[in-house]
Amino acid sequence: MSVAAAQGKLIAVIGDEDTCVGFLLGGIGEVNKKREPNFLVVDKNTSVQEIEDCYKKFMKRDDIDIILINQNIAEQIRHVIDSDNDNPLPAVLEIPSKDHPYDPTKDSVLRRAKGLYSADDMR
Amino acid sequence: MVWVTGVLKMAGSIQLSREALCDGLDHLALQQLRLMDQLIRCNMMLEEKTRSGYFLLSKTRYSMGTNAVSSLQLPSPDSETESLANVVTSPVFLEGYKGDIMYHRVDVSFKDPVAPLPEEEEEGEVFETQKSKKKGTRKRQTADKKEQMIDSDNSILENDSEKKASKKSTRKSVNRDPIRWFSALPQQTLRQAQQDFKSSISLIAECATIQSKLRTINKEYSRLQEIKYKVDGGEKEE
Repeated sequence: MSVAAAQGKLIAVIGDEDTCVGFLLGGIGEVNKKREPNFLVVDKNTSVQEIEDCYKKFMKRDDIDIILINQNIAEQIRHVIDSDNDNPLPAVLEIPSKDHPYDPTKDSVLRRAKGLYSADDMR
Repeated sequence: MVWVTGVLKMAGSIQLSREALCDGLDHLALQQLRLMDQLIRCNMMLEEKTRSGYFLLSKTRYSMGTNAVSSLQLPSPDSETESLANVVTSPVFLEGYKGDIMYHRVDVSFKDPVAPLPEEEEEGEVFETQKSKKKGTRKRQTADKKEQMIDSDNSILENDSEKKASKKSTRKSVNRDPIRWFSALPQQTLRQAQQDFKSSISLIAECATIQSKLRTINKEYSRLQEIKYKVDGGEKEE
């Protein structure tokens, strides 16, 4: 096993203030030597473009294996999330936030699994 | 006559492979549904844990002040911070399949927040403590010089072992626990919230594993489906 694999990889989070504070309190927060944090606090002033850029940046980073994103924020950049189907890592997990409970019908992974079935196949 | 038996054989092989494909698809579909159910359950559990965490964070804010637990306390890009929770992903073969169908199993490992200082920082401090010890011994030498001269030979060996032991005991450590960002004396509610979020992180690893499994099965399902379409297309042409 390589050193990087033995050390483990990071969990990144894109979420509202409470989500970021909570998970960073849990110990996932990191600011590396390049001064790149692995979290983005989304508030009312954060633009969709900023979220999109941050998401793409996290997707490109080799040291991140899981990206947590609040489901309501994921809805804003759904087109970007749905376009990244091929790579198994980093895994994108849509998590509930304080104000928005988890809705399985909006989860991209579940929707994709559901989309595999069509009426013709059942014959 | 030979041609007829050949066609029959071909038809038979198509029929068999189609049946096998349908069986495989059925099996995968069932597994897919099971995993979807597991994923939803896992997400629900995650929601429950995080909700409890949010509630405890709010409780802490109520007693410590609104801005005591906010994004203002999170590390800024200027301050280098190391993560205490890391994930290790390992590729695993899907159970019950002979092919090389793999998914990623995700495990979380939590580091100890109390860690010794790096040696570079430590050496300076150790050197200083040794210096101060020497000063002390000099003073004692003036008081009872003779006794020390006699004992010195015997104590050299003891001192070496003592030094090693004291070096270990005096080794400074730093507490990197994120709870310290919010308060030097953290409240019980904040500690409980931390525990909730830690268990949420473990649940996240579980969710990621299930999700990876589901993705793999989805891919395999669509691959088999494509083969089935091809087989069906071949049958229609005939």
